[in-house]
Amino acid sequence: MFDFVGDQYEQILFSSWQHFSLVVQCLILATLLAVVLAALVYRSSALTGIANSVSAIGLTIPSFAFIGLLIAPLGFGVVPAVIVVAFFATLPILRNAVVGLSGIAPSIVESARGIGMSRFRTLLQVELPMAWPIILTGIRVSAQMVMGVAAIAAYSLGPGLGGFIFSGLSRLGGANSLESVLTGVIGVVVLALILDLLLVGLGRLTTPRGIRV
Amino acid sequence: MSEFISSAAVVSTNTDDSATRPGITGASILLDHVTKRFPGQARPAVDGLTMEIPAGKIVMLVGPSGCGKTTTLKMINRLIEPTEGRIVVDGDDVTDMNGDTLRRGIGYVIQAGGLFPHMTVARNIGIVPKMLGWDTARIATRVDELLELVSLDPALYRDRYPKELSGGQQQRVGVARALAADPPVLLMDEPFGAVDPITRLRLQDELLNIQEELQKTIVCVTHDFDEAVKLGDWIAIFNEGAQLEQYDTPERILGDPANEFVENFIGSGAGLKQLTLTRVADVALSDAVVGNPGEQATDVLARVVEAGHGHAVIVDERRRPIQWLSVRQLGRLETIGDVPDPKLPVVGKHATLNDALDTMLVSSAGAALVTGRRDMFKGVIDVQTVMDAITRSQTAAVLESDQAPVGLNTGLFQAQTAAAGADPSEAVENGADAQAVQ
Repeated sequence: MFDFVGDQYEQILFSSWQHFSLVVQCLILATLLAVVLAALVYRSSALTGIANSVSAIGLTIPSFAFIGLLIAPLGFGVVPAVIVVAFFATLPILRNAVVGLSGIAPSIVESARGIGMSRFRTLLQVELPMAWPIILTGIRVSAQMVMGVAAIAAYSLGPGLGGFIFSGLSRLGGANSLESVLTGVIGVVVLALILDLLLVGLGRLTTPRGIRV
Repeated sequence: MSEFISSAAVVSTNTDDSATRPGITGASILLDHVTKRFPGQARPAVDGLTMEIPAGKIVMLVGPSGCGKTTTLKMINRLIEPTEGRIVVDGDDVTDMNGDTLRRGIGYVIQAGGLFPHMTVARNIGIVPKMLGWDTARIATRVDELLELVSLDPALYRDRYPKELSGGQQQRVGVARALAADPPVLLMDEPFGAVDPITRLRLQDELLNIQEELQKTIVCVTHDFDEAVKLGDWIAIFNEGAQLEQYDTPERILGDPANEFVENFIGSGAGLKQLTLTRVADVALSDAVVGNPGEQATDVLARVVEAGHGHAVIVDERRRPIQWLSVRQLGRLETIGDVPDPKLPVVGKHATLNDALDTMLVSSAGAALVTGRRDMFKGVIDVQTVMDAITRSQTAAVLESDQAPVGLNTGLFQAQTAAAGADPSEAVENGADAQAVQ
């Protein structure tokens, strides 16, 4: 095991970085997407219901099947990996963003409107900042989940630690195959822990004292 | 106000007296045949209401739940858009101007202040000036000024978050925020509904103090008739569909209710409620013998006996009353002490006679000490003074004020004008006719 890690040291670091970068970029994309979607739907109970169903049902799609389906039209490479990771990352964030936005007391929104804030300004300066801690919780859930999804997305020959897992599994029993799989799995877990710590730090920095619990 | 209304169509219908009377910074408001129908409701929430709100006055809108008083209030700043009719502020028709721009020029206070929990007190207060494009330094100065105005120490409270404040303090910050850009009109929707009774009384007194200084036009919704009597220069009592039952001074509503509905709404104890109409500052106070800590008790006693009084008031170096000693107590003392008596019956000069009477009844002296600015001693009030004041206010209430603002519902208005044989000069209908002719 140590020999394997020692030999593949640079490759592991590079793949880890690629994996991490894929996840973080997809999370940013997913957050933007989810917040915009949530802002569009949260004021209508019908649309909110649809959004919640979509995020619930979406999470039941097996990620392996999804990436397989995407390879057919899009081919191998980074694009299907990004789509799959971003898709799964969006769902928990969307759900939390909708919950966070619709959980704000109507009196707060009314007072914002009453002192002359436009609808958009109210959303930007009052509702989103107040919903931010809940949205961030969604981002943390997403981050944990898509770390694993990103490993599976390596099936499309996308970047990341998934490569170690798939190459190890494909020649199980062969030299260093188990080490390869374990390296991938442990790497993913370590990355997930690091990212979660970073997100906790981000939460501390971006949540005003007034709404910290 | 005028700078943002300049873009709106100017329809000057009412004579605007705010410019001519000094000290008043408020603007007059006119609701002109305003109707609000909510979709899916058979009866309009507000039905053809015409109401004049004089500049620089506090007008209280009261009535049972669901009578349309809150809807009426929210139509003034167009949080709720009227279905028909016009809103005129300071002589300018604001019915069609941009709602957000309009609302930035009108203060708005809701229950519990409606503060934004993720912003500090300073940011909450500075939010409207910031939207209006003030620079940072000017906003900071203004924030401190407003915190002083609502009796909160800026250094202590500026950087706090709303959750670190008590309910009463939050409400004060809410008022400060509404006043931030110095709007001529302040709308309050049950502002003191969420605080405990003692804090509510203090906040009401403070609002009156602020109003004395600023002279804004304040429109305030409440379900508490006593609050309306205490705060209002004019009270509008609504029935369902915002039918105006009586729009008059508190004195006249209590002394001469227009109909049974108003009588029922006032409830029992109208006579006692009249006590809340007169303030301690409005009645003649008796003098008192004043002593200072450290004086010889016999000297003070001599002065008391000479004046023919039964008590002497001991004040500290800032003239704040600390003790109230009877002749007998003075006889037993050698020098006057400087320990404040916690049970001293003290009322502020803005307290109502009702509060004063209450304080007197529990004090052993059958009278109360009155304090003015910075709690300085002003005089003594006793039961006889209160009795005289009641008699006077009852005679005064019968006289109708000739300055009474107009308040009507359409049906009533048309019936009256038809009876008088006058041409109903309704701007809305005339406008419609003119369009039809074209």
